[in-house]
Amino acid sequence: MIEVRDLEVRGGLDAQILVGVSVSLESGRTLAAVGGSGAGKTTLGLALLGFVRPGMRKVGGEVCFGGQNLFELPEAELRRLRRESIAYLPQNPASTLTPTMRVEDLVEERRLATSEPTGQLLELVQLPSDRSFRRRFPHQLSIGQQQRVAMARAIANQPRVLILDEPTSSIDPTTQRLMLSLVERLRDDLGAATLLISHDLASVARMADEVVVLRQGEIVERGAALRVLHTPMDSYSKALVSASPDIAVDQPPLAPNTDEPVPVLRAIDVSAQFVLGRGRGARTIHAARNVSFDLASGETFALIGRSGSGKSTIARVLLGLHPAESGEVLLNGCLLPPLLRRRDRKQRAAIQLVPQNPEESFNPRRTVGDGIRRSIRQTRGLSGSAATERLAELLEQVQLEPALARRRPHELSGGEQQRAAIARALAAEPEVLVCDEITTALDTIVQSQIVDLLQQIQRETGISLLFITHDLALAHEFAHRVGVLNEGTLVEIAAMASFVNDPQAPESRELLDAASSLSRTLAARRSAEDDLPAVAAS
Amino acid sequence: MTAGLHNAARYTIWRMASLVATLLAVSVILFAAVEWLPGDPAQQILGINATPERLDVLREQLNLNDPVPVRYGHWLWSTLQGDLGESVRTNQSVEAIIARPALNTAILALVAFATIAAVALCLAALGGMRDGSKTSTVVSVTTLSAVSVPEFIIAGILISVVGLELGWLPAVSLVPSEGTPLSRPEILVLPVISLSIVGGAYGARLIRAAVADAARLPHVQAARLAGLTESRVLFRHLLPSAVPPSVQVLAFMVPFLVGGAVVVERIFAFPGLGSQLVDRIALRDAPVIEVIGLIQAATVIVGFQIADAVGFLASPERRTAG
Repeated sequence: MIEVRDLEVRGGLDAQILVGVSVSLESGRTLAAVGGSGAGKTTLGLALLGFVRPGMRKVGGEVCFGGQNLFELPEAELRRLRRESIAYLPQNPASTLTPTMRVEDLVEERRLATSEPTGQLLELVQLPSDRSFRRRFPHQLSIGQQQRVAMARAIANQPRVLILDEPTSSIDPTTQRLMLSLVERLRDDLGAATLLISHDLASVARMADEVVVLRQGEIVERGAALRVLHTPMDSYSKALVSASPDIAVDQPPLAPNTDEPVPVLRAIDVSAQFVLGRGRGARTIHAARNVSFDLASGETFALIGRSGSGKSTIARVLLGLHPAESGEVLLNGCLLPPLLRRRDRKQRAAIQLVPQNPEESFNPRRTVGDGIRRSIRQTRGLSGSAATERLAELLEQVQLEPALARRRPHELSGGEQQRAAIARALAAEPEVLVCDEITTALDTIVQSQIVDLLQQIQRETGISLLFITHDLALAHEFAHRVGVLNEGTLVEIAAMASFVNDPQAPESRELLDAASSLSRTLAARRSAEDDLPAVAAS
Repeated sequence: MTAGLHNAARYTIWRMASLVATLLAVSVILFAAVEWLPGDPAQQILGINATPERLDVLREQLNLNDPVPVRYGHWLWSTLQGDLGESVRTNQSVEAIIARPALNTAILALVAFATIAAVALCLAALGGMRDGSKTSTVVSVTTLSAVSVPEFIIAGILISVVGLELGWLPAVSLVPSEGTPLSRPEILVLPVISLSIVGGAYGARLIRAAVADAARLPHVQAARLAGLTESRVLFRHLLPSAVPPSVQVLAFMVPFLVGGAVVVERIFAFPGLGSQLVDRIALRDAPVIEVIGLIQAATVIVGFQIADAVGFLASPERRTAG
């Protein structure tokens, strides 16, 4: 259907983005491109639209669709092709909606004469199709509804080529299932060819027929999806597969941190709320309702929940950044003042945050070393050569090249930024490290490196970790205990091992079912395929 | 829908109230500023040879002996009743003095504003749509050169070349004694061109930046990748996002045209409000200065209010916010 031959794309300073990449998308089949960040996956996806991002250029190769090279087509022809035959759904689908346009206009403009009417398209993505809904603007929809409108746009032109760029990274399980069924529908009804770009191997295992593994712009392995994901040949593919968190793979039991757990941090009946909007339309969100848990010395406690379940608000209350409505936070048995400015230096140093987006948390005009040094000075009062010595120690502890500390945050990779952020938090010699979704922006290989690093630091220093995440499969790899949050309420607290085997709350079961598992998905697909001949024979 | 209407009503009432409050504040500052202008009006009117007795009488007549707040109160009260007072120099009513210049300036400013808006928006769309393209660079360089030349030089060149050398248009923009600039529209051409080159280039640069920012938004890129026609991308996806910042830029043209056009007015001998104000400041004619100042301030404030309102209407998010 569409074929990429020897594609070569270069970026600034002639950096290689794609090198000699050839793939072919077949009608009715799904090809997945997997690989870490910077592997060139998105560049490949955009090339299928005949598009190269500003700052990059195509040096060689071609992309052929219907016998024509997209890169040689006149502008008007290319437009027509994109309009009539191709659909592209980027990483954050909601961002493709123009805020000044109504739902119906957004869908309508993508329709062709032969497409379903707008109302029917909306129903296909399980959205209401009544007039009042169609007249809404994107900001009047929930994020899930926005994503569905974006999907309706993507299928409105009955595309024959569908490009999905990290579709599952920002989408909840229900919407994921819907997207999957839409892809299947396009495939079965129109024989659409699909390119799936993803680092989530479980979703690749569910959807893809073939897989190409990209590493720094080169294809290092290709083959049938089940084969590549089950028995990868290339060393990089192997690393990718083994780094992928899997809820169904039993973890070696974690050594109990101490015989008699001593709680370092205790949250007792903490409730917190915030107000969304202003004036008459303001809504009070109860982000935490009577939340109580202990964090023992040397323990990792995972706080799990969907987005909007109140995870971050609880972290902010512990850090003194958000006032609790009621309840208490105890540090080593002593009551902590609710607000940061009332806490003394020792209390502040004791609880440190590693943020979700480390780049934003460093001053862009100063080196990351300066940022860490600032924390050393403010929390430990060290300066001059003492601070330099401490900085060197911290960099070694987080395994960051000393030379990298002289760079500015944007000059570091995502993993390096996160290491620097951990070093900055450790500078305070804290007793508790609050990690708020710290691996969301990282690819799986780097993610597992960061998790290994945290475990090592914990073994060395006996620090307690509060690990906040929506990714149960990841937490299950290294958390001792888990707490499940649902709409501000802690519905279950359990040891991780027993939780995985026997969840109590219905919300826990739901999370467990949705948790990503490469092995389980592979097994399910294999048995489905084994069943086929059996059915045919009978 | 009702939420939208409710919002709009609340918005309008709030805006009107803030308009009145701002004008009051401006009137206080204006009154005080004129008060603190150096020199004694009575002395200036009567000349340096006036006797102290005559000065005292005149001061009494002009109420100059009352405390400043009292005189402000009197002035405000009579102004609110429609009595703008009279010139301390000629005893003409202020109304009679400023009526013609105000009309002249209004006509010049309106024509110039329309031209500036058209020039700025077209250049900005051309230059901002595809940042880094050849067109974009040409627009950048041209507008930067136009902005950096002072308007009196542009006006001077226009007069000497188009007015005197070629003789196509009048070099001096005198308004006929019976009539408005519109009865001799050719006198408007050179002043409008001078103002539009400077204002249009300045506006184009700022709006180009807003358009270029909007062009980088993910929904605009998505629209391009969806293969929509370039005009649809431009008018439905890109420009609506650039409207609020652009109208703010255009609002800045109002002070430039209402008060700041004095240089151009002078060069073309165009009898506008700016020229009149400068003359009256030299004469220390407080009642006239105050009224002209107030008119200019009101125009500028209304200009920004309109810009805010357009920005409000252009943003569904603000319009429908609860």
